This record gives sequence, C-alpha cells and structure tokens, in this order.
Amino acid sequence: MEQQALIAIGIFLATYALIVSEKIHRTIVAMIGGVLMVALGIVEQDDALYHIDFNTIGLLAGMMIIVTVTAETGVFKYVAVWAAKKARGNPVRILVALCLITAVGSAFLDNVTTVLLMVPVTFSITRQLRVSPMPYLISEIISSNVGGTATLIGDPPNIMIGSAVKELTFSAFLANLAPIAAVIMLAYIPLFVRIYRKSLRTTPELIRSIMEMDEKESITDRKRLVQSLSVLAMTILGFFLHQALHLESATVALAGAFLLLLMTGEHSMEHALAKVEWTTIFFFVGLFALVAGLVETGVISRLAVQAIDMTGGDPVASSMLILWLSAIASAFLDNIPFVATMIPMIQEMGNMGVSDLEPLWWSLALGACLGGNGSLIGASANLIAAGLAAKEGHPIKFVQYLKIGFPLMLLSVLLASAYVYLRYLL
Amino acid sequence: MVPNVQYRFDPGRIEIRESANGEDAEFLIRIPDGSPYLEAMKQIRQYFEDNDEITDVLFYLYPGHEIKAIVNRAHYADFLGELWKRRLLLSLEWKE
Repeated sequence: MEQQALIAIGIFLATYALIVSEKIHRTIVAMIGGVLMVALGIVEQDDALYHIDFNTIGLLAGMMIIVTVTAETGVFKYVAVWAAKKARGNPVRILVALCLITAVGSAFLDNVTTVLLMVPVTFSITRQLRVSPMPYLISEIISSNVGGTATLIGDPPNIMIGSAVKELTFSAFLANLAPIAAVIMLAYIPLFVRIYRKSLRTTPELIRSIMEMDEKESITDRKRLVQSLSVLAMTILGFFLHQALHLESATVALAGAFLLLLMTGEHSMEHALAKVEWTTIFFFVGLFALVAGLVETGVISRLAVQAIDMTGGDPVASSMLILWLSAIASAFLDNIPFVATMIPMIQEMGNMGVSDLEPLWWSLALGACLGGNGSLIGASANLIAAGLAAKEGHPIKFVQYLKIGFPLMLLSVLLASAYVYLRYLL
Repeated sequence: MVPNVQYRFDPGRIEIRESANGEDAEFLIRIPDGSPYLEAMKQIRQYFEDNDEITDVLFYLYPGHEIKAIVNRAHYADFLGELWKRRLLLSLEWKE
C-alpha cells in the first residue's frame, strides 16, 4: 500500500478514535482531520470540496431554519399539551402519545430537530405530573431513531444515502423504509408500556392540572403560524416531487427556508440563522473531507474488494453483512462517520460488478438508523437528548440507556433482516 | 431553600400566589383581561423559553390568562428580576 494511503488511514483512525473517546468535541476533531487530509497533500483542496456533499448540508440547514421559525409560534407546545389532554393526563398514555409524536416528527422534520423540540416539552409535562422524565426521554430517543428511519430527511444517515444515490428519492425512501419503521414502532410501544408503567404514577390533582391547561394559549403568533405551516407543507410536498421537478432535496429545503424568512422578516432571519446547528454542519464538512482522503487514495476500493471477497458477491450475504455490521458499528460509534465511509464502499461494489445495489442501500439505511438506538452515543439525536437532559439535572447514564436500547435495537434489526430478505432477496 | 428575596406588586395590575413545589417555587399568576401587562408577561415567557442557559423556568398556560410558573430555586431571582424589569413588580429587594 502506498505511503499516501497509509497516512490517510492513520489520520482517519486517529480522528475516529478521538470522536469515540469524546475527549474533544467531535466537530473540532472531524474538522482537524479533514484539514490534515488537505494540508498533508492527501487530497487537493478542490477535490476535498468536491466530496463535501452540499445536498446533505443544505438539506439540514434548510430544515433547521424552517423548524426554528415554526417552533417560535408555539405550535409544538400546542401539539404536546393537546396530546397530553387527549391522553387524559394519564402518564402512561402520555408516554405513548409523545413517542408517536416524536416518531412522526422525526420522519418529516428530522430526528435531531425533533428531539430538540420534544425534550423541553417532556420536561415541562413530567414536572407538572411529578413523574421521572427518564422513561419518556429514553423512549423518545428510541422512537426518534425509528421514526427517522422512515424517510429521506428523517435521520442523517438517510440524508447522506439519499444525497449520494440519485435514484433513491424521497418517495422511494418512504415506500421502502416507512413500512418496516411502522412495524418496529408497533412492536416497541407495548414494550415501553410494559417496561415503564409501574414507575409512572401521579395523583388525580396533578392530572387535573394538565387537563385544565389551555393549549391555545401556547400559540404566540397566529399569522406566523399560518405562514410557517404553509411553507412546511409546501416543502414536504416538494420532497415528494423533487425528482419530477428535477430539483435536489437541498434546493427544496433551502427554497422553503428562505421563502419563510422572506415572509417573516430580517429579525427572524438573524435569529433563525443563529439557531442553525453549525456544530453539526461543520461535523459533516470535516467528515466528508476526511472520507475524501480514503476515496482518493484507493483505500475504499480495497475495502470494497475485501467485502466482495468475504460474501462472494452473494446478495443475501452482502445485505445481511451490511445490515448487521452497520447496526453493531452504529450502536457504538456515531452512525454519521460510519455511513460516510460505507457510501463510497457500496458505490465501489457497484463499479466492481455487483448489479443490484438497492438491497444494500436499504440495509445500510436500516442498519445505521436502527443501530443508533443501541447505545447512548449511537446517534446524534441520542447525544443531543442526553446533553439537554444533563443540563436539566437528569443525566442519562450510559449503562442505564444500554439496558433498554441495546435489546430493543437487536429486536428491530432482526425485524429489519426479515423485511429485507422477504422484500428484496427472496 | 429559595433565596431570601422580598417583592411587592400592585394587586390591580397582577395577582401572584407563591407556593413550594418540591424543591422549586411555584407561582400562580393572573393578569386582568385587556391589561397592557399581558404583553409584558408574554415577553417574560418568551425570554425564558428561548433561553438556552436558564432552562428550568417552566410555564403552564390556563384559560383566563392564568399562568403557572415552576421555577428552579437557582433561577428564582432571575424570574423575579424579569417581572420587576417589566414593571409587574413594584419592588424587589434582598432580605438581610
């Protein structure tokens, strides 16, 4: 192996180790790794820029802007209070309602943003009921990763896969992944209830205080609410039609975001842009540059050759290897860098003669998204929820989460394996 | 224990009932319908709801402009300070 490739592997492994160790913020580590790839001449700057996928970054930024402006209208609080009242203030029914809202929100907004919106609302409701927020937080994290699996925009791994493979449209993701995501949620809900129902007790007086709340008071600006929901609906419609319109999903999201800012004005723009999760955006930029080093030096091609050798190019073996490897790896590593590495590898397998890549892409999406539930560090949504919970004085312990998340993750990957086999490989 | 703070308000402008809620303080606040101070109360709510640092002041909204605020003792003075800044309190002082 030539020296350039060895240096690229060294930088990549050192960066990965530092991301896993969590001693330095992952964005700083990824950006330094990416810059080193360029500074040491492993890739030219132009090549690194070519590998930074604007579609992923534009889609994330666009959705973050739309959701920030929409959240300021109080609509998400309205929905949470409305759901809590529909659940008659019963803590177990509220758990189910919040999980379903999180799953659906994750599918159509993205799971990182949904968790950012749901965690404060969850603290508000559980404080009112004087029940532990922990069952809600853990169940919502798990629901966000399952819901996010269902669509192209739901979870960062899907955004990256959808962006890299033009044939996998928003509708294709929905048609192929939403059914299995729904089945997994249906399997999880009774398990959440069974695991937590004994710890979720409150008093009739506290239930009454929930029932007396007026959700309509949560809406702070009705005009902006109409504007935001109209743009959000148009943007989601745009995702369904993006291939027919010959537009990338990032173009749709950014068009929606800046149309909304045009309506809401300059002050709103500054606030919305300040609320964009720039640390996540730069994490992606660093990772793309990092993986560019591996692609340009031929490391990814060699890995693809080895994967084909291992499975003999057999579609069933290749799909199951990718599904389970992605799930286990994503449980203990952040699934975003893992998927950033796997995408060029699967593309390379296509170049080497593997004819039908579709089962492999769905296996990667299912493995990476569902695998994120395996541990607290498995996905961005988990880390964000854990960070917010710690700030509120309720830190989620790694092992506490693992005891619930890992077995549920294994169950979901088993269901996904059966689904992939029956639908694509039989 | 909540900080030793004394406050006064105009009952014609705002009604405040304070009680303990576990280790937190709970305020039941009512402002008369049509009062210009309703907007001030809305701004206070938005200030805390947008605040990424002070996340432990929670608001619950009831019919008739009644608001319940559950305030972590660490932010007790911050909460009252915001009420005072927007003239919902007449005075606010530390008790020696």
